[in-house]
Amino acid sequence: MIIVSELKFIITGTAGVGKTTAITSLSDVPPVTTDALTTDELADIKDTTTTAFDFGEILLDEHTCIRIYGTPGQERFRHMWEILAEGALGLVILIDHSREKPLEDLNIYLNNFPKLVEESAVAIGVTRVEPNEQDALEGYYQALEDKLIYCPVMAVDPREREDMVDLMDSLVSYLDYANAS
Amino acid sequence: MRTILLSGLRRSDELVFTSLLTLLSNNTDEKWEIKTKGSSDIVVVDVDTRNGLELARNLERCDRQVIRVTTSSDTDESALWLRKPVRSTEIIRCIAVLNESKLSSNEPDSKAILDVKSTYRLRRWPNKDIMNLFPEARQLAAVMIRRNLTLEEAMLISKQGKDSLMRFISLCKKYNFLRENTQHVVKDVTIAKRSAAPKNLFSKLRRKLMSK
Repeated sequence: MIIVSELKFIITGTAGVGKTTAITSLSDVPPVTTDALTTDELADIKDTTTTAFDFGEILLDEHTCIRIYGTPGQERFRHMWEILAEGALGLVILIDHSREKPLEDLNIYLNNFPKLVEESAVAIGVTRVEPNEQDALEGYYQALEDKLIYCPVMAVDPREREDMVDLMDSLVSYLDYANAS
Repeated sequence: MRTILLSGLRRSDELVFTSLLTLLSNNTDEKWEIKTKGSSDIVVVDVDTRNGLELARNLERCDRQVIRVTTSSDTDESALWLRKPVRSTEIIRCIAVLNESKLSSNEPDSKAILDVKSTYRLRRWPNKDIMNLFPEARQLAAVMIRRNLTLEEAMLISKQGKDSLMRFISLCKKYNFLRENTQHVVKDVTIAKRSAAPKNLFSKLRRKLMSK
């Protein structure tokens, strides 16, 4: 296969939110991961964590392949965020709604990918939303509107391929059409 | 006779405009008609509101002459900006700028066609039930989450008839996904695509995602 140029999307979000799982749901090939044993506070919730990046591919035809990179979640790996974001087409942010301050989490990722957020496109996937939390997404939309960011936000389960396809589809639709003149 | 439309101005600023332009019309060769809707040669827009800013940008994209009114001090005094409260001397300066640009332009006069209409903007990305109403629903949602659209613009983007589109709008309203506004709008806004990637990449990707 000839790769004409690197076409890539980035999936970022809090540690343990399901970025690696999301890539596995979307990728045509078994994802490449750079996991290491967790030694920090995350050890209670997961055995391993991404330290450099995860990597999956969606093969469109014999000449075109879309790469999906998952960033490490922890802020101490933010140098990797910048490297991975360079030249990306769009950004997916996954936020764990069950964490103490999910809106602050969202801000961290919005602030650390300014070029993608302002000049390209972003879609927000909110995980661990309970079925009875009908208005859970309202706070996210409000926080985004306060920053004049208008983008798709949806509740997702990264294990469900259909959810991740919907989220990616909303991002791609936004990229394709939202920047109307 | 030139026509000028005042959009969203404070009453006091409107009065300054009206008084000055009436005075000019009565005592000089400058003849002005002030309008509140319809077509006009020049549009004066208060850009301190989001709708105003969007309107000004849309008009400028259509190569219309726009005078922006704002409280911001970060304005270019040689250009078509007026600072609040509006002063007669500043209006005269703007008219001089407009006259100069008219003299230097070989383009024929064109008019901005404005109307007061309902516009719709999505507050939230609609759920699957709504997105599955018609194939172009995602395209429509992507534009509509970013800016206000009139019914006609939405019909153009979605390639849907009025009934089908009204169903989309009423369902979005039902779930509180939609915000409806009434505002001055430019009639001839064109919808263009932008893509940072090869043109058919996104449709290929969408097809691939859906096919599995």
